[in-house]
Amino acid sequence: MRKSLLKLIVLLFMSGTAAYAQTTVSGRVTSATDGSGVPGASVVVKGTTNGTSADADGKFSITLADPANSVLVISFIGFSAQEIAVQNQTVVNVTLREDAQQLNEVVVTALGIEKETKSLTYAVQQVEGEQLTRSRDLNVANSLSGRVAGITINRSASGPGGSTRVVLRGNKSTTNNQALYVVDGVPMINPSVGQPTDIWGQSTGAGSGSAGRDGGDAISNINPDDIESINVLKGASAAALYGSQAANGVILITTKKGKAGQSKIDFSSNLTFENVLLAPEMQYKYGQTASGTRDSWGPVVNAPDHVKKFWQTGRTWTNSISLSGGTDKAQSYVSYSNTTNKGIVPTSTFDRHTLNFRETAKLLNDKLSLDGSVNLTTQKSHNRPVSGIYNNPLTGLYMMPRGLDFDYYKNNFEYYSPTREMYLQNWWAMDLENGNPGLDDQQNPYWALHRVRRDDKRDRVFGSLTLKYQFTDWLSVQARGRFDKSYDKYELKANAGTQSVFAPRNGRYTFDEQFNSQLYGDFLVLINKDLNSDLNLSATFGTSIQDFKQNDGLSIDATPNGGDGLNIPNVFTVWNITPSAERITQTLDKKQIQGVFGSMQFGFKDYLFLDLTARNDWSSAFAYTPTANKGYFYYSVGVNAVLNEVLTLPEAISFMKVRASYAKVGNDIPSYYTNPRDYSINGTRNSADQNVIGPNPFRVLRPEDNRSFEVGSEIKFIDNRVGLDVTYYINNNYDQFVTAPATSGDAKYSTWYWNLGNIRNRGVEASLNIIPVKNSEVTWSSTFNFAANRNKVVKMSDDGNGISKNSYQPLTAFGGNMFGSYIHEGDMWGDLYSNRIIKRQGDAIVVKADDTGQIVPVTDGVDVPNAPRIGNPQPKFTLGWNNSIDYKNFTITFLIDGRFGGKVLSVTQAYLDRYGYSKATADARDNGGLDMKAVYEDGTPYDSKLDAKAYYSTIGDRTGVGSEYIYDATNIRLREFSVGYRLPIKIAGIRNIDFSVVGRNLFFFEKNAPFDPDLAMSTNNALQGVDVFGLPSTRSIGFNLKAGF
Amino acid sequence: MKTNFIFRRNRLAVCLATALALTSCTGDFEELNTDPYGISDEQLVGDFNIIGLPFKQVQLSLYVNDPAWNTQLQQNLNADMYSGYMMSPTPYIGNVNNLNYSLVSGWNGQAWTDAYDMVMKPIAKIEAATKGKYDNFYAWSLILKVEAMHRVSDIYGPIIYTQFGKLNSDGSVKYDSQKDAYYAFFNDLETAINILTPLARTEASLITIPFKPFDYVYDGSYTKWVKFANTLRLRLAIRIAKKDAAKAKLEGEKALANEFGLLSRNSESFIVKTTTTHPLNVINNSWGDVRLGAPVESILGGYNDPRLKFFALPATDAAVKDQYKGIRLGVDIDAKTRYVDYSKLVTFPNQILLMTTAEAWFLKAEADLRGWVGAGDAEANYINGITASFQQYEAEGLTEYLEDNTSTQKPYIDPKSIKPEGNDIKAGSQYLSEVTIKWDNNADFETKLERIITQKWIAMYPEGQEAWSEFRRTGYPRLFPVVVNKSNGEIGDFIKRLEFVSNEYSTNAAGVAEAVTLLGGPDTGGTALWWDID
Repeated sequence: MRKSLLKLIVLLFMSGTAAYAQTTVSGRVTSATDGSGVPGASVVVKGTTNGTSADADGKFSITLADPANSVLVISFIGFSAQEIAVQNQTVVNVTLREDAQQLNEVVVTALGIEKETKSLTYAVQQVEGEQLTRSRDLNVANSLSGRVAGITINRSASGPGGSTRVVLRGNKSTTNNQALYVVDGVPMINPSVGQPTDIWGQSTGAGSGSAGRDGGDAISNINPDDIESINVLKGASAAALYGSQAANGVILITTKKGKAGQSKIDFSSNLTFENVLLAPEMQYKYGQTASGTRDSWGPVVNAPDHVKKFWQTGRTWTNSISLSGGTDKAQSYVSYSNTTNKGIVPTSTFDRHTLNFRETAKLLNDKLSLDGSVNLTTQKSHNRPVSGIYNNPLTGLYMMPRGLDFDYYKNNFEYYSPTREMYLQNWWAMDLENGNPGLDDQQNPYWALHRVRRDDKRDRVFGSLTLKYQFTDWLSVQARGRFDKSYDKYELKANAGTQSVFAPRNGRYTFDEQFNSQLYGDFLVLINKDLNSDLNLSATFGTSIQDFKQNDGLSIDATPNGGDGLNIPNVFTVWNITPSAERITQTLDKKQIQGVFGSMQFGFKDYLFLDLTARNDWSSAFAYTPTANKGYFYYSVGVNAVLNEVLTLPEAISFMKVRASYAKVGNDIPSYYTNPRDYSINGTRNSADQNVIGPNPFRVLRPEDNRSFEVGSEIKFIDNRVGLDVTYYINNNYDQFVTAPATSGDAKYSTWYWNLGNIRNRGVEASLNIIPVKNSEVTWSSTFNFAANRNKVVKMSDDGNGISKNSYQPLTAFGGNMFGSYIHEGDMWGDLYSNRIIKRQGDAIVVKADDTGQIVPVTDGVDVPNAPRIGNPQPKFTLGWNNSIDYKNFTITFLIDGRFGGKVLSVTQAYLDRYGYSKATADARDNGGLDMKAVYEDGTPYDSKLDAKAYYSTIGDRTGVGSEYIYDATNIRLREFSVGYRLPIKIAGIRNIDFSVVGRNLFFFEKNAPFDPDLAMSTNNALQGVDVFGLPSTRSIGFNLKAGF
Repeated sequence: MKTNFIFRRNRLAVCLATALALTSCTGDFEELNTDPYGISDEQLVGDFNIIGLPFKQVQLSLYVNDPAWNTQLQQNLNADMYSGYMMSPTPYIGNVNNLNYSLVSGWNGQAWTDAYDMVMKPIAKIEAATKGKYDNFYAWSLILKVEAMHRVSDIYGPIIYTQFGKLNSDGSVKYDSQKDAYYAFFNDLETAINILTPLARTEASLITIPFKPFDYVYDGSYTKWVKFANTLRLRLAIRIAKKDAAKAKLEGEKALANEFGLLSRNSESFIVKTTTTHPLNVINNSWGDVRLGAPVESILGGYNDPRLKFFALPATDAAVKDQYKGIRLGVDIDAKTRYVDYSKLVTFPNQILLMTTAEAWFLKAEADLRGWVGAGDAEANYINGITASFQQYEAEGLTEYLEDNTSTQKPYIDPKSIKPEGNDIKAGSQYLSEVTIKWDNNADFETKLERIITQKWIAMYPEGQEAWSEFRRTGYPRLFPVVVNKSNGEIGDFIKRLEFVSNEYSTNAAGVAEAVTLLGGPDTGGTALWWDID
């Protein structure tokens, strides 16, 4: 009834203007390239909202009010739009030309606003979803390495599904440097659960002797098959509208949705096998020094390589199916994927299921569009590999004295204890019957795998709903909401018999659960209007609110503090934990950020663009400070000119634009620091009534202030066969949030908070696209991505405000280990420092006779500021070379990824050297010692070879000489390689069947460090560039099958 | 529940709407920015918790009861080892560390930080809440403050004490010289004793005992706290007796004159009762990071002391199986396995013993030696001290022990020394004392003193902090010099102190610079403290 009424009104209204009879026009949209239909092509009557989409064959029909004067605008992404005057025709066939220039390519920018690439005033780089699934990685973020200029990716050395650290344009902040992920226009929290904080692998909040852990990050939960494309907005300019979280750049993920007229089923199956690419080089020639000793400086035994036998072939099988389709009114997309993985470490498994549903629809005469999605993920991993010295099966594996029978310990990792009537650990270093607890840096690896079981589980749901109402052709409003909640559960069950630093006498049970949730809402007014024939205005005004509840966790642990830990051995329940061992922690970080923002882009004649954005944020983290009510304001301004439309350029240049932008982004601080509680619960003392006095509130804390400037140019030559995009940027991050210890004399606070300093990053990014070959049979396209970044801590502090100008802010404190990593004025963010030095005279090392007459290097412990700087893990520059060659039905792709410069440090190597397990020590022994230039302390030359044991025992171990374990991080590798074949079938109902052989991380062209510098022990700021018994880097080779129906 | 949910949702919507009007909705921010799992002062008003909780924290931090790694840095890897009681079989940092006098700054700030963060700050809070209002609590806090801080001063020398909490405009804080600190300790103890003594007189008639809910040591007894304060005062007076004899005598005699006297029964020993495992048990049993020190083997072994079996377990290493075998400070260690099977310590009860009653008797014995009024008879005090110690362990053979005038410290042999015989202390060595057990009234002052201090050293085990201080003051008992000295000449055979903490150099540069001048020598482990004169 109501509908009829509406129609009547419309008819009455239209009768006034439509003097002519209505006609239905039909036709087909085809591609000029191959004559096939263009499904989904948009057909709109110019100047109206009357429009439709082409069906699967490219056919369309549309009813026109004025067939004589109507002009149809036919467009589709990747094609040049065409306008055709109907002139009373009833059949209009349109041939669309592929837009070779791609000038009108649309990218999704901040807040999901689509913009033409050529209008952007800042650097954006796009990666198509297809590239992410070809040689897939379980964490999609890893697939960006080498594909985007200026991105630095470090995977956590925790195997499949582990977290990834993604840094754009260098480390800027003392607190957080990771890029922000934005999914379909809405920021996504990306907590990395349970990262290790020290070289033992223990994580914050966990009790001592806890196992290292990586619970995975949120980005790893996204199914790569669901991704349409990823845009990387590298600078703060691009990101100003996302608010402070975007100061480190944004990874914008656009997911797939159903398309009108296209009913598709896509299926893909990917099976890959992994093996060790790069493990430490070890020796098996020389045996145990003496019975019972932990080192292998003994006689030749020529033991077998037991380490090689330990690894198994890993296997990852991913299946994914998606169904999509719809009418021009409503489209649906559903996908399901599952992944099962068996790691290279025995018993280690990982499983993941994702289900994604998305519905897009147009209502109310197409004026209201709706976009809703729900995504469910569940994943679990068992014995996910860990880094660090504690509780890591690799320490015992690598450091079993040579000559002992590994197979015996494998088959007899436990023995029946007559005194306890249960099975306990059997390992050469321990004798539990006689009270010898063994060594805290090694256990029987098979005990560690079978009797210290670790399980991570995550359930996650996120969904969003967007409503957009188009008032007129230039004005629309949009409201959007998103809900994201994940639940992580971690359990550690260590049997009685586990090394006593890791577990109490009767075993250890750790129960840890954590929620992370986010509510997001925004409201936008979108304007896009031609102000006159030359000037276009596109503007967005809006407001947003984000409500976070992170680390909402409860952890209950039976700590190894000398007692029994559990009442009944090996019963892993909370009630069974003894009161004296029980340690409970409860955490919740709350935060709310509200924002009001606006952006305006003026386009003059489609070749000159001016971008302005402004935003004011209010963050609850500033409660109790003056910033609470006024919030903090920031902005960006950018200009862009398409020069080839203004100037006459040489003919070879087909397109050229220059751009510049400046942005200032305020950043908030962690929750609660302006309002620390007077007491915190002291969980280690197992009591609610013993507290540590809280830190200084410092209710003058300000937002961090990040200012960046970038200038760039995009040039295309020779009919767009060559394209170059270059950007120079400089970024200064002022007023960093810093936590520093108070002077002991402060009667109230043990910690002070400050806004301090300036960290600068500047650099160049370039990406070069070339199509070296393009003919009817072969197309070869090639992309180079280059980036160089220089980082400097320009200023730490003004003297006299309680924190010294020359202070060293720890990222990883020495803590008695061979290295530390600090932020210090004049140096680079995260420089590594050595805690010990070998004394040198000129190029000779200084030696002396020790008490036993052995000649040893002279070393000295040094602390900052005297500790020498030994390197920085950040590469000097990166270069990725990405290629795709199409020949008939074959597609060959490969990606060569290089990182040049930077230094990394291997604690693993120091351990293996110290105890005579590394190949280096065997080589030195074979050589009769080390050939090193050495002098005595009085300067007399020492002419003999240095004894290998004396030398390595002095410099090795975790407490050894850090400067001797620093390596050039330069590496170049074949990151991805695939050969695909599309079956030449023409069977109704089958769109395509593709088969490919794929490989990832296949080999190194160049590599100098003893471990893969891409791996990091943690994805937080600590432990960057350091390997402590991390899982070896793996190579994977496998098969891909894709079918479309 | 449900209404709350709806309310929250609506509030989001309302905020969104108001934010659009270019104003924000920050009304909830203060609540949002409050850690729901922290505790505020307001929540502690009831039941005197605002006073009581800091007291609990202080008592458990004098010697940190948990986590054990904290205790290991606070005391075990310095005083416990320097006192001769213990040694670690672990070759930390390539065997270049505190134990061979290459001081590890990353370790040596712990005793300082623990004292300021977990004792001085809570006590400042107590003082603000109690002084002039609940003077009994205030007095109690003064005693604990002195007990905590004299230990800190005995480690580093000058400390922040009287100027604590008084930040200068540049953020620095002044240190007190050790003399000023000790004088302040005496003042604070006198104040406390003067407040508590009258209360102790009425104790029997009290219905409620105010300290009781928070007292981990004396169950709220005023009398026992007064006795402890007197004994502590005497300990400090004796400590400065060589350097500042007049002040020492004045303070010592006041302590001896108080109507409640000193600790005199074993039930009065200063023991912090905890519910967690004694940190030494973790370090000893779970980590294997501490073993018996060679001097214990040498002295108690030489004396055939029946208490030895209550200190340590026989070694399990094949080379020394079933012997009580200690490790010498600063030995060359190539791997932990070399010494880890030397004598373990016993498993201690979960109680932190910081002052034994026996010590009180030995303090009185020395006071008599020095002619202080009220000290009683040196011989009687000496015998009472040994007796108290035997009773503490329920050890047998006291009578024979007291009569033993032949046994002396025995030589030390280390069969597993990397350098053969390199660690041995052979018969006739200057590091082996001739002093026997039985009291001899005819002996000279030094022999008497050595006898008293040697027995006190045995009786104080395992409280390494006080034992190290008394060794530095008196040179007794005869400990063994560090085997390998990696101090680059900064420290002699016996270490004198720890260096000021590195954090003070960055946060309180002016203060610590002045502290070095107050120290009267370079900021190394080789500079003797004020009371340490020889």
